[in-house]
This record gives sequence, C-alpha cells and structure tokens, in this order.
Amino acid sequence: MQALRNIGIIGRITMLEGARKQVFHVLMLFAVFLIFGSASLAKFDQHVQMKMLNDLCLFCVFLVSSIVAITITVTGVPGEMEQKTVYPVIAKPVARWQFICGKYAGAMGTVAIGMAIMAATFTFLQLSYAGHLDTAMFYVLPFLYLETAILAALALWLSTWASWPLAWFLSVLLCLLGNLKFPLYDSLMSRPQSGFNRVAITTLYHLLPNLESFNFKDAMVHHLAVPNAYLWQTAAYGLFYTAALLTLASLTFARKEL
Amino acid sequence: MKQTNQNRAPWILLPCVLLTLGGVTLLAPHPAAQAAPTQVAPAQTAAKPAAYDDGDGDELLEHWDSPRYGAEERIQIGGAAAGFLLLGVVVWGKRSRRTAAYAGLTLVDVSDPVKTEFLKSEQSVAEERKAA
Repeated sequence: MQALRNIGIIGRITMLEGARKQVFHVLMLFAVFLIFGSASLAKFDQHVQMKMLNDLCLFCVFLVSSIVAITITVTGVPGEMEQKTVYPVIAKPVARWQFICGKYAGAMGTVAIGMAIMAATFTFLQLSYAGHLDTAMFYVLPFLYLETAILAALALWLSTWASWPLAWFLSVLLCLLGNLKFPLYDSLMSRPQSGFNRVAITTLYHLLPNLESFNFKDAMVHHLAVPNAYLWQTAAYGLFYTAALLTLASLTFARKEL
Repeated sequence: MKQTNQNRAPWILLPCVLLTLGGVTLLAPHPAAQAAPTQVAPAQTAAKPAAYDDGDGDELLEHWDSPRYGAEERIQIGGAAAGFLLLGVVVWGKRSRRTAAYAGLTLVDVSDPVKTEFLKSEQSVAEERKAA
C-alpha cells in the first residue's frame, strides 16, 4: 500500500512537471493544428474525405503521442540526476523500483492528457463532418496508447544507462524498427547470410517489440472487423512487454551508483 | 576551450540537411522506373480473396488476419513470462539465503572482539555519565 502511495506521489509530480513543459504545449498546438489542417487537405466526396481525415488524424495522434512519450520519459531520470533532485527522494524510504514506476506513471499521465486533447479535437471533427462518432475509435485509441506505453518503457530503460540524447535517438530507431519488424526480417533473411548472422537476426527479431500489432488504423478507416481474440492477445502482449521493460529499467537503476 | 552551442550548430545542422536531401532523393522517382512500362499481373490479382481488396493498395498491412503476427506475440509473451519466472526464482533464492544467514545471529555480535571492546567502552562511558 505504501509502495502504491509512493508511486502515486512521484507520478503526480512527474505528470504535472511534464504537462508544464514548453515542448508539450508546442507539440499539442502542432497536433491540434495538424488535425484541423487534415480536414482542409482533402476535398473529395464525403466518404473519401472521412477516410483521409481518419487516416491523417490517427497518424498525427500516434506521431505526437510517441514524441511526447519518448521526450518526457527520456529526460525524466537523467534530468533528476543532473539537478540532484533524485537524492532527497532516494534518501527517504522509497525503493528505487518505486521511483522508476512513479516516473513512468507520471510520463504516461502526461501522454494521456495529450491524447485526450487530440481525441477531443478528432471527435469534434468527426461529429462536424460525418454527424456521428465512429465506434472503432474506442479501441483504436487505447491500442495507440498501449503502443506509446511500450515506447515510453523502452525509452525509460534506455535512459537508466545511456545519456538522454543517445536514449532519445535509440528510442526513435527502435520505434521505427518495431514498426517495420516483419518486412525488415523478411528482407534480411531473403539474402544469403552466414549461420551466425541468421542466429543474430532471429534473436533480435524476437527481442524487438512488434509495434505494428497495435496499429488498427486501417480497421477504422476501411470499416474492417478485427477478431476479439486477437485484440485481447495484443492487449496482453502490450502489458507483458511493458512490465518486462519496467522490470529491466528497475533492475538497471537499482544497480546504478548514484 | 569551452565549446558553445553556437559552435556546435553546424555539426547538428549538417547531418539534418544531408538526411533531408537523402530523403528527397529517395522520394523522387527512379529514372529506370519512369522509363520502364508498368507490368500488370492480372492472374495474381484475381487470385486474392475479395474481402482483402479494399482498393487502398495496403492489403499486406492488415495484420490481424495473419497468423504470423499472432504467433510472434505468443512467443514474446512466453519469453516475458519465462523471464519473470526466472527473476522470481533468483529473488526467492537470494532472500532465503539471506534469511538463513541471519537466522543464528543476535543483535550484538559477541564473537567479534573489536566490536565487543567498542561496545564495552561505550557502555562504561554511558554509566560514568549516568553516575555523574
């Protein structure tokens, strides 16, 4: 119970700190501008325009949420260490894993605020153009949030052992690789490779997160049905992967000399 | 000499410009592709199930119908579960070893002569203070 309280306190402070950052405000303004701008890009009949609107808006939500999640998480722990604000917290009866979980919860809270703003703008546009709300939005957006949760956990783990610019760069790189995992693997394995290379590529392939699994944008745009079993499995996959990365981040931070 | 942010700017800007130019070059159509007539394979297109063809040209991206994605997710869930199990065993082993090590110990280790001497002197000082 005390652990949850500690995580909650650190999380609340981190969330407020993240929401007050200038970069967050600029990104939110950019996202809202982009979502409204996407409505004026397409001037076709209403059916095609709605498809383009959904496509562009969901891409914008994913892009801005990912940037916010990576930027806030990557600067969280190194920033606390640089400003030496981590020492009074660690000196109190707060375990290091609680500190890591608190920072993560706070960053995800900031992402949730940002996503809520973008979702509200998107809903407003949908209601103005189509006159009704697409119900697929109720599972497409949570899965996008889960995808950013994995990215944030990955960035947090990287920030516990790397400097923040390196962690940011690696997070973006892993985000791209995670989205292109299957075509990249097929392309590499179709060429003649040595035995060692094949083992190394397959190991990396199984370690990389499969971020494409959380992308149900096409289902919403083209009104396709997604099996419930697949949705549940993907949700469980996202939670497991996030938990594994947070455990790794906690272990790395616990062994770090402060 | 301390390097200022202004001095670093060209080193940050140069890769950005090169990456942008590289990206634009990749986006531009290849001359060979422009010259070659488009090859159409009607037999392969007709063989696809009608449900997959929504006309947007990204049929391969619809991953929920591919068993490969589901299988990969299950492999990674299994891997994470095995990792948690291993971690649990390691933590449990460490805790049980620590408990066994501390089980026979009292608060004051009398087997250590240095500690015992120190404690005795502390005790005598406290008694002297009390008497005074």
